[in-house]
Amino acid sequence: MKGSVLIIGAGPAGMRASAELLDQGFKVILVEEKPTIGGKMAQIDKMFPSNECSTCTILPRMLELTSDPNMTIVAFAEVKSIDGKAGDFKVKVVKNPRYVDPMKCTACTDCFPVCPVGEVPMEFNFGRGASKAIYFYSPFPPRKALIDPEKCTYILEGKCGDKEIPPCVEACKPEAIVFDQKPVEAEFNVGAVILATGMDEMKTKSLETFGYGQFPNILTALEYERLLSGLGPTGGVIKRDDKKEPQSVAWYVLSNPSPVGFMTAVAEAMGTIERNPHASVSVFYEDMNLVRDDYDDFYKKAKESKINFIKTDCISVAEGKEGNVDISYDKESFNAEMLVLVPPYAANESTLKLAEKIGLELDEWGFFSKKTEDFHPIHTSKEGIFVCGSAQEPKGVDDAIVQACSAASHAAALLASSRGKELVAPPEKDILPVKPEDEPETLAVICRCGINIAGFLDMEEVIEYTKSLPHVKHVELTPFGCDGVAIRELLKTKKFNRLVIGACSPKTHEDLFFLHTEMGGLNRYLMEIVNLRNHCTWVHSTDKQKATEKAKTLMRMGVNRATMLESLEDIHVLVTPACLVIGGTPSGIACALKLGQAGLDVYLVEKESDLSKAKENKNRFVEKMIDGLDKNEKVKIYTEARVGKIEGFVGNFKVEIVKPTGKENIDVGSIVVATPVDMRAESDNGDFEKDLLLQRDDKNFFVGMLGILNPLDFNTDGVYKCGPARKVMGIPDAIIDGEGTASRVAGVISKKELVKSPTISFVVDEKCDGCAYCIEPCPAQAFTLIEYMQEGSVKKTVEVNEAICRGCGVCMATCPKEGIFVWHFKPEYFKEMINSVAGSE
Amino acid sequence: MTNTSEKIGGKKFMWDKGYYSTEAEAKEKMDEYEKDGFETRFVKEEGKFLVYTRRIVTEIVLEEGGQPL
Repeated sequence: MKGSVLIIGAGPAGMRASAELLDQGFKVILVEEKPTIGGKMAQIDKMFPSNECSTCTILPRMLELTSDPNMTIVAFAEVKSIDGKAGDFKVKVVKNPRYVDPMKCTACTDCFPVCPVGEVPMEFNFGRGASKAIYFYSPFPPRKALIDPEKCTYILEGKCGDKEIPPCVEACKPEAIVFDQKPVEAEFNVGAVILATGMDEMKTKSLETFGYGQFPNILTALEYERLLSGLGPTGGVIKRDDKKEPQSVAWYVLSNPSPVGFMTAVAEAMGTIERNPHASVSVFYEDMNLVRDDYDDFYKKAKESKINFIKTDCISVAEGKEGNVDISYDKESFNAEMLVLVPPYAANESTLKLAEKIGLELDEWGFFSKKTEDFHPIHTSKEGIFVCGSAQEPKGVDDAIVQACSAASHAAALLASSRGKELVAPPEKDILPVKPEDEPETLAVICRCGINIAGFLDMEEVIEYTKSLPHVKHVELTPFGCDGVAIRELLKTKKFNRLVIGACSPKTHEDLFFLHTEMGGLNRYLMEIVNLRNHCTWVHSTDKQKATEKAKTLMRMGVNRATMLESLEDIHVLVTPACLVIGGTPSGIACALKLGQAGLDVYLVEKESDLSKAKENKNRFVEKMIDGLDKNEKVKIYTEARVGKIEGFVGNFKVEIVKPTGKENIDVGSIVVATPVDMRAESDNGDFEKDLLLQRDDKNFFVGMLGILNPLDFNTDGVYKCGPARKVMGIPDAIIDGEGTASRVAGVISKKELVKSPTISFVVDEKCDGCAYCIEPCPAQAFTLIEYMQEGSVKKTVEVNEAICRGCGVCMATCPKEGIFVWHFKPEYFKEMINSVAGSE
Repeated sequence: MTNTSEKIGGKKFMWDKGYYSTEAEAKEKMDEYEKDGFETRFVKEEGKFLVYTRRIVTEIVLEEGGQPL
């Protein structure tokens, strides 16, 4: 049995399945056919129904994956064959030639301006925007150049202009360009396979009926997303190909069995109104298929935004004047300056090819949703090969995430005996000891971020100014700070004990820069990020001089703060390797079974006398799961039981189970709530909802963590929700939900210990007098008020539970006596930063 | 310098600021504190015995004047 998993497709589902499996102790090989990862999620602007920015959401997750030592990303590659059986597959992958050695390419972009072949339409932008023949495929990782062999004159004709040596080769200092690169075959041995190949718009002949490809200014929804995207060819400004900004845009959602098409149109229409509140925006549709309450809420919100929704059986399209589009419907007519078609979705070409290569059955739309013998949506017609996300059928990002977690739990259960066996240990850290009294020796690394920063600032001026700041010993300009090359190499000289990175947002890049800092041998908390990209070049892109002045001020603040930073050590919390599942619903049963199959201890608590209520659903798979539970020695079922008091925190919960025969105490590391909406926790014996700080919404469902990537998580660490605790859903979805939650839980309890950030609250005992103002506002309820004896008097102070404190700083803001602070965010750091501005020239 | 607070067995204890010459002397003081419901611990440091105490407050009464600015 192998301890590695192959995941095909690096969209949100494939990336999430990868992250889940890495978290549970498996090695992952992620194969992506495009040169960069992210899938369709990297191409869209905002996601429904939460309207979250797609790039801001996915980029940090991409960077985490690319920096994990147990993750192998094989981009721009195809799976050639998968042989063998569940537990032991042999996979052949063919890597396409990039004509650039990715191990040598530093993404410096020096080759781009010298390439004489310009105006190459960008595939990532569906032909809009132009690049050179040597280019980046997208703004996402892996950020390595590649050459388009159909455009490069040296590859096509054997020469580049009149030069014998192509200018790109001359410009490339790391000598990364390899014109004779051929496809390379690689082999991997894995225990399970997850297919996450996604979906595509069906650009069939029927689109031509609506003018697509016939008349100008008619786009598909995905093409329009690139116009909405800030990283797209128009920088997020909606423009037609004739550069005109349209004042009226219409969508037509073609007949589509999935709600994804209609919801996409709603999200795009809202994005258009956000950019131009005076625009006339109309959505023509045949069916909404709003299958979820939150989809319905999103649609209602859009209606309030003055978007016209027009139900019609069909529209007809004619070319209008000045590039406009004349739309006729139900004997009415409408003139739009741009028309966006939302076609039905189908599996992409690579899915069809892959299915043929590995002998998997597909449904009529080409998805892997062919009903298997056991009717499980994650299963395929081959054991050990699972499917998730839109490769199974079209779905929104949050549903794809749940399925990805479920697929990960299936792979983890199959390979349970090999968990952790193939993991590569992270490299040994050789961290420079730095004492608070040591004189600061600061290294400043300023990132060009391609042209994102360098194109909008006077870089020379910023560099010279930074050199003049106190304690700055060296300033380095780097093409892309996120590749970590400059940071690691300079820190390894051990000449510096502080690092200031002038780059992008800590929100997206902090974890990555932490990693590079420690790989260079400096404690991560001695590093400070200055957000030049978001705070200077993005918001002041039209005023280079003022943007430069602001950049200098921010660098001064960052450098001065950095001098005060202290080394901090991570907190390690031991984990009880067991889980409590509350509720013998199909979701609860599915969760308990997957955890049991993964070799993890589970306690399932059900208030009824047996699991018959779940059996009443007469679902064959539920019955099979109940049989599986009965046979699994790792699962202990408590019937006619309730959960009493719960104390503790992630990794270490103490739970009281109230049975007809008395109370029993158990220790668990994680808890799953799978109870129906009408089952309140409160009883004479306790209230687990209160103990776990859970809240319900106005429909009585549990409120979870914000963010489209967190559908199964609560804000309380180590506590998860699924099935009827989350929303109304059918049995298949409830099972997927439960299994997905099992993956979330396994990420906690399969570890011996959890590593926690040291940026938590610290009580200054000399100043704290136990006034208790910090206790009630703490969202994590991390404080306990204690009394103690000192010099004959009873005094008070507070105690912080380090395991549950999140370092949010609410206590620090509340304390009237400066009696508490958050490590790495001491009040004096902020004072110094403010003084840096107030005392500026 | 002696720490005002110590984490002992995962719990925060506060020093009573006394130096006790013998273990017996420290334990006598601890018994006195325990009668008032305090948990107690002692630590030996440079030949002296230091006593630490704690007692969880279950009823929290905020200072008068409401929430501070």
